[in-house]
Amino acid sequence: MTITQSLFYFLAFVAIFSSLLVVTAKNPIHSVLYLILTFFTLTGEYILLNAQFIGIVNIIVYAGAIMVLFLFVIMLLNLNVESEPQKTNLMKFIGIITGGIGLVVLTAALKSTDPSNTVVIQEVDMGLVKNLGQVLFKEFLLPFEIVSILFLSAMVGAVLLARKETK
Amino acid sequence: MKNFVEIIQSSINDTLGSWIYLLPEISLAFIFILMIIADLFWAKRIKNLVAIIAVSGLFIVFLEVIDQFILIPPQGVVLFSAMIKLSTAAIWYKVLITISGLLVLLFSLRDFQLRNTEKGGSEYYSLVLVVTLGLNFMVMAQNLLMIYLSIEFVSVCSYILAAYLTGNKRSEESGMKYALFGAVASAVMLYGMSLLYGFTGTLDITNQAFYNGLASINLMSASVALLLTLAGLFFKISAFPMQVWVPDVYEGAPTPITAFLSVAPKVAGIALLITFIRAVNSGGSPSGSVFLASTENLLAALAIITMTIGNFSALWQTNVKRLMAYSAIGHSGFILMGVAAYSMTGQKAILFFLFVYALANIGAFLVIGYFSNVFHSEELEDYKGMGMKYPLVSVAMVIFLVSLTGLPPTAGFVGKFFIFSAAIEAYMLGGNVLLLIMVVFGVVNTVVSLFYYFKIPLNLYLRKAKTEISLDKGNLLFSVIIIVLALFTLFLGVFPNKLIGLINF
Repeated sequence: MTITQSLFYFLAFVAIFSSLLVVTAKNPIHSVLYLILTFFTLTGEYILLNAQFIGIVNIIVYAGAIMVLFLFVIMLLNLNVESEPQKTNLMKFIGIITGGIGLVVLTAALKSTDPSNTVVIQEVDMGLVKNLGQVLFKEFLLPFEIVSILFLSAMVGAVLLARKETK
Repeated sequence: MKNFVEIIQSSINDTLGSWIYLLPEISLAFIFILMIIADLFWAKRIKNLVAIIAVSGLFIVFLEVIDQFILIPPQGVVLFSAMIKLSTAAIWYKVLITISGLLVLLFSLRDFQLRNTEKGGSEYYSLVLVVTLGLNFMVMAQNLLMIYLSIEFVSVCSYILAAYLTGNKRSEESGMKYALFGAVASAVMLYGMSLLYGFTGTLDITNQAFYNGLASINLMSASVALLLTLAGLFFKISAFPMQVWVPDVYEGAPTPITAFLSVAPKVAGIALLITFIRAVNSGGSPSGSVFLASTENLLAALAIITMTIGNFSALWQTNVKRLMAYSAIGHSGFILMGVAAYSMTGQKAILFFLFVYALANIGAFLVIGYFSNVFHSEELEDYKGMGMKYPLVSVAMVIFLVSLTGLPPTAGFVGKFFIFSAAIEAYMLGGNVLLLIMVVFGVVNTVVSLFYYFKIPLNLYLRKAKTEISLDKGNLLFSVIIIVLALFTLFLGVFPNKLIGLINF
């Protein structure tokens, strides 16, 4: 077993384990923290796949921005076991049936697919930041610049709408 | 490393070669930043500084746009690795957008509500300029990424402008509704675009691979992807089934913004729709595109439904802005009629119609703004007996409404006539019966529109004012613009060739 393979198995194990903990954890804050761990292991997997950019974005956007948002919402809502609405037996029953139907559809869909050939990536360094930067500043230069103006104007608007006027 | 230097050099050369064609857009971006800085440092000392920069800046941009007619070769130029294409048709749409932007800026200068809002006006003007920038890109876009970005650009700024009168319940509601509907529409469109990219493997809609990819898959799957993408465009031009937001937003937004929203995004949306339909129909096979019949039928059916819904709902309105909102939906139907009858004459007819529609619609909203400044109401009830008190403006209003209805001797008649004849021509060539039905519906709807448009002159002239209220003086700037627009409407009605002669592409 090479070092890459052992790293892969390790990360995969941690990812599955922590995502199971996300579901089973009683405390929502713990659950969110396990989710962060899951994201970090997934980032590791991306880097193993030579996809640097997705890995970095995954950390910045998901583990960074979105998780902070999650934490804020949970803390602001103050979710506790008592305040959580109790599910009746009927609701559970309906849930089981709906989930079961979904499972049937999924298995049917999976059964009808043919096993695909192993995908061999032609360009190994496709996901490198270097190549992405080249495309971004060559072919997609104009959209890139327009996005910056769009963000500026959206920011002006957001500040404008949120600002409190002193009379 | 050497490789990199070459890439950077070629990229810089490409950009240097292209930027001259983007002069109006680059100027707009600079003026926007200039306005923000000016507002920060000098706005306290010089009154109306930002508004002055906005109006003069947009005027310079207008001249630059006009200049592009000479600059580009007849077949147009493709810029920035096929992201946008600057053609003569696109320049015409840009001219129209810039003119309406200028009129709306002048309109906003003296609007009662905007002058008294607690936020002040400076950000307002900069946002109007940025919307114009987005609209310009929308007209030129020919890449799915650019299409999405420019539409989103226009939408985000429009939401803010619609909600500009903070503290006013209606305006806030209008901005919120607009944002919610817009978010759903753009999500749907983005989904459609991702499907299109998945099917074809290219973002460039003029690329032959785009058509080939779509034509080679199941027609049903291709139609779903195309329909989802078109839904976002239909939101912008307020066509059925994406028209539900129009009345509330138009009623609540500040009147200048209503005037702007009813004209400029519609112009850009139509331009983009034409680009898109053309790309889908530009099949390589001699028998024509596989989508030709289905797009024609779809657009014809949507045109019928849109104009019928718009015109019939307008019959029951008592608020003038709401009435104009439904009339705007009706007009979208008419323009879609021209798009359904797509041909070279069809595109010219659409452009002329849009010009005429823009003149009359902005004019009508200016009159609404004028009256709103005078007696602070937009209810039809309060218009009673005003015709005698403000004769010039009221006569102009009648001219605008006659033009919107499409009766001679105004320009609206000529515009509608061109659209109808383009549709008839398409029927003669293709023999699609739905196009003929569409024309019949168009005529019926014109008659229906007569009933609600003439409620306004009826109240202005033939009804007595209920009570004598003290009235403010009318605004001179408004009167001048209104009369100039009314004269233009009459002039184009009598000599339509003066404009049509210029439009050649």
